[in-house]
Amino acid sequence: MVATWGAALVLLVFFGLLLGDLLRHGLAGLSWEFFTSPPRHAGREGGIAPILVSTGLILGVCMLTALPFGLGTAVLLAEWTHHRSRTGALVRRSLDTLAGVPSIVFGLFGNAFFCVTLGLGFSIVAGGLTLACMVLPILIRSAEEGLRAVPHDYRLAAAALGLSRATTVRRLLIPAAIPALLAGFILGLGRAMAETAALIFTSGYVDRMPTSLWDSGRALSIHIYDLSMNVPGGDARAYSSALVLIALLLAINAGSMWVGHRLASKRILAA
Amino acid sequence: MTQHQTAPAPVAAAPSAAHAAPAPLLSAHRVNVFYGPRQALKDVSLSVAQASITALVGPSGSGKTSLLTCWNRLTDLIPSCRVTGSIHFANLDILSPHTDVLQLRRRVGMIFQKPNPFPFSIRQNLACPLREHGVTDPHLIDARLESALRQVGLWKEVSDRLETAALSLSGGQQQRLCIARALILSPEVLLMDEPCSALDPISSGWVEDLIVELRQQYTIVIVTHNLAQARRIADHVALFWVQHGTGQLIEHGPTAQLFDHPGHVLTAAYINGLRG
Amino acid sequence: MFMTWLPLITLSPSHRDHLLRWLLWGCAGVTGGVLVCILVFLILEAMPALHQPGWHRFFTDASWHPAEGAYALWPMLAGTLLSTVGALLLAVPLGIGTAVFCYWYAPAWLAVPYQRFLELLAGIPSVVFGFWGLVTLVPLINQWKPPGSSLLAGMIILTVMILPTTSLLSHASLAQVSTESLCAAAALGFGRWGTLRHVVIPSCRSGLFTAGLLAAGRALGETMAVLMVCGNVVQMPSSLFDPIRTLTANMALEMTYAVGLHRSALFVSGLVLLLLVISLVGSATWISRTPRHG
Repeated sequence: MVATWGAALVLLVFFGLLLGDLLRHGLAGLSWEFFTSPPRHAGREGGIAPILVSTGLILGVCMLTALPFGLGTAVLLAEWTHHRSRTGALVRRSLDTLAGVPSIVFGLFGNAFFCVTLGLGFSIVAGGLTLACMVLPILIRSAEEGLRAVPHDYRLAAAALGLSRATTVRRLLIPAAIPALLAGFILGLGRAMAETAALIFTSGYVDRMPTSLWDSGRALSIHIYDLSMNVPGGDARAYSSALVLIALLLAINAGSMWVGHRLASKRILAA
Repeated sequence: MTQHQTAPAPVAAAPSAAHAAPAPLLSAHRVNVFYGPRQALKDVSLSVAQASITALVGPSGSGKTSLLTCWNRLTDLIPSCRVTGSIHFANLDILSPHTDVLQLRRRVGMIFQKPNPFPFSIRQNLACPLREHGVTDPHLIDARLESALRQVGLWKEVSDRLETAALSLSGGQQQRLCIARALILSPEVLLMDEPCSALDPISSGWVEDLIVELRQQYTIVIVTHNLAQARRIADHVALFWVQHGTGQLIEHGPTAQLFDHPGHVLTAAYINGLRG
Repeated sequence: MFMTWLPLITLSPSHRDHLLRWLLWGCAGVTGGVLVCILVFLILEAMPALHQPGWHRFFTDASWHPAEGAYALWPMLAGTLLSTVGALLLAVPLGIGTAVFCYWYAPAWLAVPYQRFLELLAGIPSVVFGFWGLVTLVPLINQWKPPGSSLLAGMIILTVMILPTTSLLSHASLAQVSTESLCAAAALGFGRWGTLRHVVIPSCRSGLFTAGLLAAGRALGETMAVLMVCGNVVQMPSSLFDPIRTLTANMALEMTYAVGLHRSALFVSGLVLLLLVISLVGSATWISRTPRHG
């Protein structure tokens, strides 16, 4: 009894310390300029504007690529293959394994495939595509669960009305599974945003404002890493950047809970 | 089905008319249904005349619903399900792999035991299947939507709130909406799987009245556990029974004949058992 | 009168269905193929190093100086394994403890928020943990025993990182214990602790083991946090306070400039890591799938 309370307390205290530290040191550096100005002196001064833009672009490439493939696979797994189907099991198994692959390995693969073989170089596209491979299992798992949770009655009713499967999926199943799809999307987005190791040698380090998707761009997490490891005296800005990153992640999470709640209570009206 | 007779057809008059009917609209010949290794229906032959109500009765698990879903190939949705024999809808060979299943299901509507409107608005529920079958003109959709809702007597209740969620309707209203959703595609046949059993007695009465009205224009096959209901509304009754774990057709014939002069001991037992 | 308005032949939908089906299989092919692609590319890139210096050199060379043809990966493999094992020794008891706390002892008003709190923690980026370890934990250890950046720091940070996952997974397997066995235990007059020891823990042993395996997979593959707190000296540590370099940290540090055989050697370490993790995840799924008894 005492031991379990102790364990829970240890965890709580530890994270209390962590968050307290970040707030104490990071809050002072947050200002309007911090968000709108580029970094100066290797990041010791100035802000994180180009880094935020790069982060957004990398995430955009990642989610826009992963979403159609993820949704397609989830629909196939949930609607076209039943539980015991062998090909379905094969795809599912490979996705489960993919979910366990370390992010640094994704980085190696991204570097070898996207940067070198496809000739994309260190670029936002290469980073985004690498992250897309990484978030696929998350997207697919929650989407498949969401689709499977749609009552079977709907499918029967749709079939009895002579609706094609394409229409059934597009008009009925996907709208009905929106909360789960959204939850998976947010989860994947959070995972991608938190990622560092897979980006170091795919999207690169350059902290200039990117002019195109084929430019190298520095993600927020890499900025934190670089400031704390390679830039003496970069701690203050690193604290602030870490705070921004955590705040973004928290906001995304809270947003997903709120949206999911609203959708679940309102039901979907328009197809 | 283009005739619009307003006089309610007396139930007792049905038998002779049905006997005189020419080619049946729906037929099943030596049909077997398997779910994996289990045989659910064995050697069933049955035909259904146009513009009549045929009731399928019998204990649970006797294959009534299985037969019903053969006629619109909903059996396709069950992965391990296999159907043999020959099943026809007018001249259409239903089991043929070349049959356009979606077109078949457009012409053969189905109503389920539990009302199953889509989680959309009332309007979307009706418009979605119409659009799927090629009706895209919004005026036409509105007109057909109104006529279908009027047919099931729901227009007055919901005409001012077509945009509200269909799932917010009461159970009886939902079931009538589902019937309207089937009618809006102007089917020739309606398959009904215990359409009243999940409803309260009052809603159930409404739906039953509605079915009697619909028999003027549609050929109806209805599965029911309610013998009294079968007797009230059906022209023909077919009794199914479980023998050696498999559903079989025991007897079928005009309603009055089956109830008053059952030809099979099981029929007599079933009718009397439920009576007494 | 509306009846005749329906077009008898609508646009053939079965054709569209076929198209969709092929499209979806295409999607599944791509997503299922990612793993294969990763394996193939790692093997292709690792080939040169496996051929020319040969795999045994990774274990027999005296040092890691790729420019001079010395490819000792073993100190880094040891660093990875040591930090992972250390973290597991701390995280698994703590994780099960917090899960038991949540499931068994915590009052209802606390259990659910605590659960949310854990989920939140599981999403904190590793770079933030690493950063915090670097600015807070490392100086702390440095005061006690320099240099501070050490195996111990890596173990502690890894522990904190895998704790939420371990705890959530353990909680999930605790929650699967059937009510019947709980009732039976109560009927036998077991107290909470007795029920826990004799009924709950034994009946979800495989679930807890799986949680441990998955946590190990995460710890093995963790890069940023260990990179930032472990000191990154390529050596076999002689104590907890020695700095170490893990395989992952090595890749992250050197990939940007490595060429030729050096680059290939890094891919070898990536391949080793991938195979380790795949076998861990594989055995975890295998264990969770075999019917449990006892």
